[in-house]
Amino acid sequence: MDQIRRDFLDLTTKVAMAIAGSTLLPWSAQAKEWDGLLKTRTFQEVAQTLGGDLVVESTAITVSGPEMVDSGYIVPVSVESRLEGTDLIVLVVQKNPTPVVGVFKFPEGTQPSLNTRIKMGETSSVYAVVRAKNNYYVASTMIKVRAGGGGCG
Amino acid sequence: MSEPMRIRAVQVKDLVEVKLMIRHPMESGLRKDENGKKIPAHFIETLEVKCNDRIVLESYLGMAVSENPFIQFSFKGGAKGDMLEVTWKDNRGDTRTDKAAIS
Repeated sequence: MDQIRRDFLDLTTKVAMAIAGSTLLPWSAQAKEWDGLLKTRTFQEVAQTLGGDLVVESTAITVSGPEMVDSGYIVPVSVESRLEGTDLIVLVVQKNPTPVVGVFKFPEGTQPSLNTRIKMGETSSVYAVVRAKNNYYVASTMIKVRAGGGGCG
Repeated sequence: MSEPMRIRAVQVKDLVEVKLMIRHPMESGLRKDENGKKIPAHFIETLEVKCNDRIVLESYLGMAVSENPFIQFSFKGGAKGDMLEVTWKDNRGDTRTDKAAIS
């Protein structure tokens, strides 16, 4: 690569960074983070997108739901993290067309546990990716689905 | 027009237990109607819960959260009479805020 081209690339990078830095208001930064997560396919990708290199399996996280459901349209799931400093939980249904179901942020004082209801297209592992003190952990459960939850997303 | 949410917030010892039942179709955009026409996506993207203006839960939801979403969680630092404020915004830009006092 010749010097002129290198300088030009260097300059464009700086300009791009300056523009990004000036327009990244908190809400747009969050929206961007969320957009990236929607495209992820696995729990490893979820952690990587959030900035974690390594995901460690943890028994201090409980993901639970029914063993089997007749319809995947309404599947109750619970997730609880007993890891100190948990501030984020991402629910991932491996086999759904869009695996990331929800991202939940827990400010100081909010218990890092949650119950909700999700749609599942087919039998799948359900993962909870947990961020605690900037490290990433995961736990999962298998939920069998007899009939998919019509366009489960 | 969106329908009001049901918000139940009860103080139990040092925790406030919250149950949210939100009216929303949560259409994924992947389903077809009886004529084979695609039903457009319509789902809540962000949900925020505040207690006396302090954020206690912040979430980004996907289309795989069930119709009429249900969310249950609990937090510290709330007391009877405090105001809980829940706001959602969906992919069409519709938004709704409902309030309830902690009992």
